[in-house]
Amino acid sequence: MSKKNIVLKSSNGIIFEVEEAVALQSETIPYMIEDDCANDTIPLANVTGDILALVIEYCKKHVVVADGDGGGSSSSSQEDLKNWDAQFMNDLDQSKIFNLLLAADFLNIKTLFDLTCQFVADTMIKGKSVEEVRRTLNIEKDYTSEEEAKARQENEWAFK
Amino acid sequence: MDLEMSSKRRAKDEQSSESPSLMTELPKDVIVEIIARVPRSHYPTLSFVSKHLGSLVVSPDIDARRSLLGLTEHCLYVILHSDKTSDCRLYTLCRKANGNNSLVLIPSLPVMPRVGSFVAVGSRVYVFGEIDGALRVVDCKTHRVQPLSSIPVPMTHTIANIIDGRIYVIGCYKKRKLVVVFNTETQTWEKPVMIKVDIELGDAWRGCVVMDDKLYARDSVYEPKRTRC
Repeated sequence: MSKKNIVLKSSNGIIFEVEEAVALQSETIPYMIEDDCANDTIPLANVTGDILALVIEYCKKHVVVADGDGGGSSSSSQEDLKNWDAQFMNDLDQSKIFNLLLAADFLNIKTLFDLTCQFVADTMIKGKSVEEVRRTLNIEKDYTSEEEAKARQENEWAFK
Repeated sequence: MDLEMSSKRRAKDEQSSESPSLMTELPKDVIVEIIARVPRSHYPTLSFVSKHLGSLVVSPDIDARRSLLGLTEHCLYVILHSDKTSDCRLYTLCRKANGNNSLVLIPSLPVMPRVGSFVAVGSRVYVFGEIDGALRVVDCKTHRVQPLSSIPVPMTHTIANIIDGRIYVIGCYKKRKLVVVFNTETQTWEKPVMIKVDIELGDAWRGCVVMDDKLYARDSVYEPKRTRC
């Protein structure tokens, strides 16, 4: 099979040229290829260059492993991929994580979307106290002092 | 996935408090995707974080998403009687930040009958014992109560349990013992049947268990298949 390249352009005009197999992990891009008649560059109005670079890094990693094992990945490579995913996410700050999540949603890359959603759930919500969740996600308390006092009184042991 | 947070991550989390909340600015369906991946035992904590998250964790959207992701869970619901208020209220398990569990009040649910029978079917709990003068069903997905159509015969001293999709409610009516059956599939009551089995019914004893399609009460057994027909 001949390798075809696809050119992606981020919202801030940065050009990325990737192999078709890498780009096609996005279920949105094939529709954009069909819609795009004149040139080969696919503009991605919702994704900035730094985030698109991360998306491509992820897609490249995931396409290589699938090829290396002739389509069926062994359990050890699955394990390696899991570790790579964990490291990949751990290196990102919160703003990048949320923008990556939105890019994965827009580009419809299911595994990346699952990974980012699960990462937010596990590291920013799970196992945290009410105050910690508010601080981590910078969520403003919209309960009045009276409402909060009542909830604390009803569940005093939950806050300890 | 590595759940441990490095000190580097922690530092980044602190920084984020300077900027507006990225989480609450996400589209609603994306927030639903995230919350659906959090175990239910953390939902009480989320409902204390903000009203917005509190309403989200009991929304049908979350439940629909969890079902599609195959993330259904067994959840513990407990009725506790408060000496202070003399009320019986429903509590559920909440996972605390230190890893321990505690029971937290479900504020949206009304006072439960002090003496009643409770039958769990899927994500619903049928309450046999009146709440505000009527029978109700607790929907554990939304933490709301729904009315249950009136029981054909107003009975006292009831016990109830489920066999093969039908809830058998046994109780006293004018000094006689009756069994009425509620079909959970059609959500309708069947015709009441007199029973001859002398099941002891009392104020203090409301427990019964089902094994091999038989209902075992204090010192007697009720077998629907044999007494029907």
